[in-house]
Amino acid sequence: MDDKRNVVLSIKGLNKTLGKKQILHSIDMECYEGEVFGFLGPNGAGKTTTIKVVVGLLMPDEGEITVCGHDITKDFEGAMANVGGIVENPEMYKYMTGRENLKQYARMRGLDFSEIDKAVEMVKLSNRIDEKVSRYSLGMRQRLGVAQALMHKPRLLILDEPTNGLDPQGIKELRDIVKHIAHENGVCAVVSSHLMSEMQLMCDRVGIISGGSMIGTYTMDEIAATNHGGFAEYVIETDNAADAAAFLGGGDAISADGAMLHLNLNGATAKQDIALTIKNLVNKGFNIYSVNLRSGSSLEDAFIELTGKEGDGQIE
Amino acid sequence: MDRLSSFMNLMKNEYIKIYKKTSTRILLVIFLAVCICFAPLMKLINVLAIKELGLDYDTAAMHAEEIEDQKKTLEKAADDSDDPQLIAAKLEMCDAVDTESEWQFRALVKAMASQEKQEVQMLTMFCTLDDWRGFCSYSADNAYSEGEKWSYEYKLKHDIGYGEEYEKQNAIIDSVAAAMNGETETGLGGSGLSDTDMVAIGKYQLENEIYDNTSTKGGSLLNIAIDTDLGFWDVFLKSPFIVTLIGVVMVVLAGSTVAGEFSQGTIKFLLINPVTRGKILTAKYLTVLSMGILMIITLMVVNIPMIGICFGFDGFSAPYLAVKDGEVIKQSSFVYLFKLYMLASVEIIVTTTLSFMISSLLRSTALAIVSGFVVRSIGPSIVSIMGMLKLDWGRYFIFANTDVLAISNGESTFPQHTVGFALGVVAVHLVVFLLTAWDGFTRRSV
Repeated sequence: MDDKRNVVLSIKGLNKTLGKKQILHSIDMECYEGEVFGFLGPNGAGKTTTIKVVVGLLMPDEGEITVCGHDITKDFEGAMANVGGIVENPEMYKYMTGRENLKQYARMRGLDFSEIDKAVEMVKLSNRIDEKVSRYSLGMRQRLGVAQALMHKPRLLILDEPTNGLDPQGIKELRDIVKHIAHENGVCAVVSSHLMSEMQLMCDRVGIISGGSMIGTYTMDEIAATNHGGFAEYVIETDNAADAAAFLGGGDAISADGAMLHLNLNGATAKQDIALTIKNLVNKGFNIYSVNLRSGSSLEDAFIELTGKEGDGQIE
Repeated sequence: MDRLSSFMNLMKNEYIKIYKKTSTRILLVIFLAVCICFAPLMKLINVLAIKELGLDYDTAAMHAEEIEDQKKTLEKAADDSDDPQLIAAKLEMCDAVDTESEWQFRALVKAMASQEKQEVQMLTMFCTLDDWRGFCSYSADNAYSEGEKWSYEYKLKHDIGYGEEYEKQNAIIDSVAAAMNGETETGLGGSGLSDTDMVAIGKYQLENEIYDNTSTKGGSLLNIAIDTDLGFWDVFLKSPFIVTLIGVVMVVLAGSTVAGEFSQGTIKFLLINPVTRGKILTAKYLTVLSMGILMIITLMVVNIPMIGICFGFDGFSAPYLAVKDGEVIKQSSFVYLFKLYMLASVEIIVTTTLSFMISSLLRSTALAIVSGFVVRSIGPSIVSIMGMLKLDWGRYFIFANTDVLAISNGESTFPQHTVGFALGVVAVHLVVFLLTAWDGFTRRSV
């Protein structure tokens, strides 16, 4: 990774106690401009608490948080001028229209009202923007929340569970918007979600938090490499998977499931190995209908492996 | 962006929230309706009450009827009276009186009560000659009280007769005379002025030929029902009663301004803006207070034409006369009315700030509004109980100090209570309320 990129969000030694329970233990984190940073953790791990501290909804007990060089406790207004976000649910004033809601935020940020139309256009809400928010669906409110977060062109965009309530089309559009403004406009987007597949498609880098402590930050390449301790899973569709498995020699790495043949190959040599395996099977007379690389669950697997939470569904 | 304009934008946001929200908008509409209906309603009450109480009689006809009754009584009494000459003189008097004339009827009343034939004949002569001066000088010499003596002497000295052209002077002379005798009505519709002040003001009015004065027109709403001749200021000076309604609206606004953001869940979006919490809280408080000022202005602006339409603009430019250190001071009635509003506002500001504090501290709209009303209704009772038990420290209690108008009139439950002391206690409480609200809002987790 190119570490010379500008740091937008920096968290150093953040401790936070709510009541008697220490929620966050000395969190350290840096997010850079132009990246989509996924913030992952099991329920109750401290994701939302961390985000709330960053946007000033909670006061930190200890630690230093800066946004674009502005300390949020010492220069709150300077820091927040660079932040846009949605924290938890996108609750807006229900008795106002979408546009009137956005005007409220435009006034607080000293923005021209023309920015409203641009943001609304971006989240594709133009047709319904002059309707009362009380008539919006959750997905529409989520879009309005994103428009609110984007309208002042922040350098740090914080989205807490932004895909909640969005339909698949909406999720894809949101992903495209976030990727676009991060990669094209150099915004640092910090996204938290429990949908691992979404995060995998959206993020450049992820930070994993568990039990209030930061486990680490990883690029998506690193996740792919650490996946399954360095194994890649292939699925081959053939006539008789059991025979094929027997032909290939069996073992832990090979299993048959009806017409599907599952192969766990060493990540480093997976490409050569799968090519050779296909050649051998074809030469032996097996009909091969499809070959797929299973990658959809790799982040999830890495996540479970790193947080060690498999089989322990207790919320902390 | 310039700091002031960014702060004004915060306040503009708050105004829009108040206006757009159905519940608060309905309250404002009700307030406006009350402002508009105040004068017509007062007119209606006045007309109905006067009819019901039978105050709309024709004086001359009534006098004529009374004289007829007197005559009948006298004729009956004539048979077995030991002084038939006196009865005859009295009957003669009854015939001599002109029922249209106010003073002649007074003379008749005097004559009927008299036991001396000479006096009755004298009064009869004044009536037949229509000699009000004679009647006045005779009455002054035979007056029962200091006030009566003064009033007849004054009329003679300044050549103030009877009849319509002297109506206003006579009313003032009568009120001065009543005050001199200590007969001023203080309970029902009293103006709150002391007798000595009434005398001083009345004499000042006569000397300076200011026949319209608003200082006797404040006081109870009951006057509206029993006054047969309501003028502009009689009604306008009752409008501070609507200020109570403004208080209700403001408690609701203050109770929902902070807590409402929490209950709607919008607080997070409010706070993740580049504006400190302190500024947001200040903008909210000032918005509620300025709504109060706007409502008072609306109240005045709406009522001037409405009262004018219903009661006429007579005496519109009448001054307000007050007594200070034995000297009569003349000031504009509008200034006086404004002062009345300000005094009435003290209680409103206290309950509003209390409700605002609870709203910010407990984040519950219902709790804030309810406690605002409860404290407002229970507070005065606690104060009066303390007063009855003669607990003098009760005057440090906030609600012993909110009715500044009563304190300035010397009607406080506690002796030695001054306006300065009251305002001091109120100021200290307000500071404590606001600091608590500030601390609750700016430091706590969301």
